[in-house]
Amino acid sequence: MTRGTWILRRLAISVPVFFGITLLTFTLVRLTPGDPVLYLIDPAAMTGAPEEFIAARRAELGLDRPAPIQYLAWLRELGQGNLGYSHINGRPVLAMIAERVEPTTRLMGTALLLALLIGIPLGIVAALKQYSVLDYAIAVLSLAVISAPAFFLALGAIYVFSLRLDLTPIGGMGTIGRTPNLLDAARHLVLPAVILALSLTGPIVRYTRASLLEVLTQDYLATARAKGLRQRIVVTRHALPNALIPIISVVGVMIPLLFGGSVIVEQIFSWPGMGQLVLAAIGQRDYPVIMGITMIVALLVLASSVLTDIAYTMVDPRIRIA
Amino acid sequence: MRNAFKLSRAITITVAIALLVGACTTAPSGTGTSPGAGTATQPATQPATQPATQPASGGTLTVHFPLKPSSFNPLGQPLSSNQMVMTLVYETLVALSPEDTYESRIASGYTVSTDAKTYTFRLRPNVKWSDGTAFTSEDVLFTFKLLMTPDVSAHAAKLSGVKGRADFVAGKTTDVPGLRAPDANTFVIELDTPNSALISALSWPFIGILPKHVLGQVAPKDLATHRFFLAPTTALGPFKFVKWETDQFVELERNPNYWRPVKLDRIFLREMTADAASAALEKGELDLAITNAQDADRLDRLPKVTVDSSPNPGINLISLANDRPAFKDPRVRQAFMYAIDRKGIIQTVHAGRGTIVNTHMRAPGTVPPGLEAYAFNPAKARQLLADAKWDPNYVIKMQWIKGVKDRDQTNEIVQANLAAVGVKMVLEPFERAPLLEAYSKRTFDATAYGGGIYTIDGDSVTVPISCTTPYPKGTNITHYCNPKVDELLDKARAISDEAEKKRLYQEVAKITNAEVTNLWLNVADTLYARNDRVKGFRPYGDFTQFLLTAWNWTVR
Repeated sequence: MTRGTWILRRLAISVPVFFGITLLTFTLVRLTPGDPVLYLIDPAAMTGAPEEFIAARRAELGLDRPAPIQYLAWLRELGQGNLGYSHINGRPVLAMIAERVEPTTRLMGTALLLALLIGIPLGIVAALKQYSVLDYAIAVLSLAVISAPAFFLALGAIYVFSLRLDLTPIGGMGTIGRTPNLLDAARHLVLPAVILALSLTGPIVRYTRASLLEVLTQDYLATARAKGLRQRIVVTRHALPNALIPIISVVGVMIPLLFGGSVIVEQIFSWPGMGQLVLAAIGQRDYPVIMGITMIVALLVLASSVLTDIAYTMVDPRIRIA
Repeated sequence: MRNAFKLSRAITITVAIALLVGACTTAPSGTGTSPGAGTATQPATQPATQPATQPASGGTLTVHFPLKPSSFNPLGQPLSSNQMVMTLVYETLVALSPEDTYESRIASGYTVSTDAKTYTFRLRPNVKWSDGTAFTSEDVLFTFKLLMTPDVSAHAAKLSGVKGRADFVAGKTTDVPGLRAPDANTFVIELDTPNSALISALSWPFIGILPKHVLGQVAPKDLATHRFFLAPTTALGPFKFVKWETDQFVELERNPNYWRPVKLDRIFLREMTADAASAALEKGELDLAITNAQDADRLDRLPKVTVDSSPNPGINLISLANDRPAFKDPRVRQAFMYAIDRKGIIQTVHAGRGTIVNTHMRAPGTVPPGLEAYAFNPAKARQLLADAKWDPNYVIKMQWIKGVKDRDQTNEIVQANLAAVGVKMVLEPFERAPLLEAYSKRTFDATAYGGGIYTIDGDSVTVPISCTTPYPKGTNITHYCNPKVDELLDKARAISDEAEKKRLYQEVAKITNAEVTNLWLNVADTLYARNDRVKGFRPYGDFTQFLLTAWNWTVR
């Protein structure tokens, strides 16, 4: 099989997986207790709503039709490139998601980059100095950031860096009422990006260390050393390129983790990303928005996993397409 | 398959985390809500109309937005976050003042006929919308017709007594004899049946007047999702809508055409969690935030922050599903009242900032002497439970929206208090959507919340206790129903004799106090923390309306 057909087959498998996900999400969301129309009737507001009002809203949102019909209607709209309209305020879901893409990419991209820039060197150091004090210190540190809940780290960081040291703002993407500039944007980005990055750094350190250690024991490195190459060259030229291959798949797995982590970080730092949108939508049972975001995330994750597999075949000639 | 697994796991994780965080979102303590209000042959308090000379720059106010807004549609359900913005960009006939009186807004005054059937509003002359179009009584007429249309308006019940409503709603006519605009500056509401509480019903929640020249051509069914309500740029209120950056802020600027001079240049309403807001206030990034008793003292000690308070016009309470066999016997509900250490709750949870109430009635002169005080008495509670043959194995499910600190703590105390008299209770935090569904499907036992505006007009207790307003038709969550109570409330609504009305409301207070419609816990203070830069601030007991006086503030 050529790489081209393999990729096509890989993509073809993704299609039923994608529809499976939409069906699963639709079913799960509908099984969750809560009614998007009743959601709007505030018990403290003491006004209630006339039955006509409730019925009219329900009909307008199409919620009076049987669930399978609603699902099919959603699919039909999807086929026409329409993700539907928010139950809460009638905004097009696509527009709501589109305005989140930039903030989400900014936060997640920076976090992922930071995680790799911190995680890989630390992992290498830990592997080369195996069982040294440094190795143990890195192990403890990476375990600590894996175990510490993001909200705890985030609130702690706000307390120390924003309140006590007055280095960073409390939240948001920029100083409101001021023309956006790079420095201001960076000051707002640094805390949330670092906190989000920390949760990924731990695994990257551990994976890099394990992978490099495994490679270091292999015979071809002994050959390299036997040729009289210096240890630095052995590691950087011969060991590292092979050791880093598994990290590619780790990064692939991390995309969904990033989405999960960003929900909390965005909430605490008032970051207007996808995480906040999905959170609000779930709370309000805003079905079209939940479905829309799930679909986009599903597409991203599917794409990242396909890309990971393809990248794998490119960097590692040992991986055969069968 | 590997990918499918990875993916579904990713989604599960995302959704699980989202749900987890959702359960922890914070809402402001206390609450705000409900109709209050009025008697009324006299005009409301009368601020003088000022010429449109603009004052010097009053600065920029940055205020905390405790909950996420959804849309700014005065016809829709009044969610407090939406209300906060609407009180700034829309204008209303009459509004509530921080002192629990009516304040004239775009109506300079109104008169009520002696039979309480005809309300005549005098509108301020020569007022313009922010886009320069003249404001007239036609705008008010347009708005009220929409308000009366049930499938468009969540407030239709407020106008159910308007003359000719039935034919209008049935589509037989587009004209409503009971709503009239005889000249550009007069608006008349005529009712079939007397209703001396109409002003009360119309003044809460804040219902803004809509621009006919902008929305007049829109089909009513398309209104709920009309884009104007996402960006209400044509303002009659003190501020103009500039933009809404979702999950960040709403920006407003001074409306130079407001009928009186506005001091502030600009307002930013910032969306953030309560914890972040506390920190931002400390740092000076926020000027004003609603706070709670636990944080108030700490914030008050900060050099540039002052905490103001005002008694909440509503009540913190527990509602039982009174229609359930377990809670049907009033002796059970009385026993719970004696079992709960309500004084202790005020001390520990509200830092002493609150008072006990024993009825929904709070308007002046409506609370008779000699109501049962339900002082903490576990022995009496045990006796009443024994008399009512309470099943000690019954486990009460307390379901509420977790996240308001004082309410969460209160529930833990209530649980312990009830356990001490042999009543089992489990605490089940809920999200808002399923909780409201549980109210509707009657699957809950007990729930805790707060709200209402009961301090002005006795009629405002109708919605939470009347047989005609069981949730979701109204917000009678207990489904308490006593026809005698309804009869008294109907009678009071139909007369304008103040003394007689108060006598009838006192009767209602006596009956409901004895039957314990709800477990009333307390009236807590609504607390605001503000930077000392903010001048002219007046604390409202109802937090949804505290921006009504912002036109007169400055930030320097």
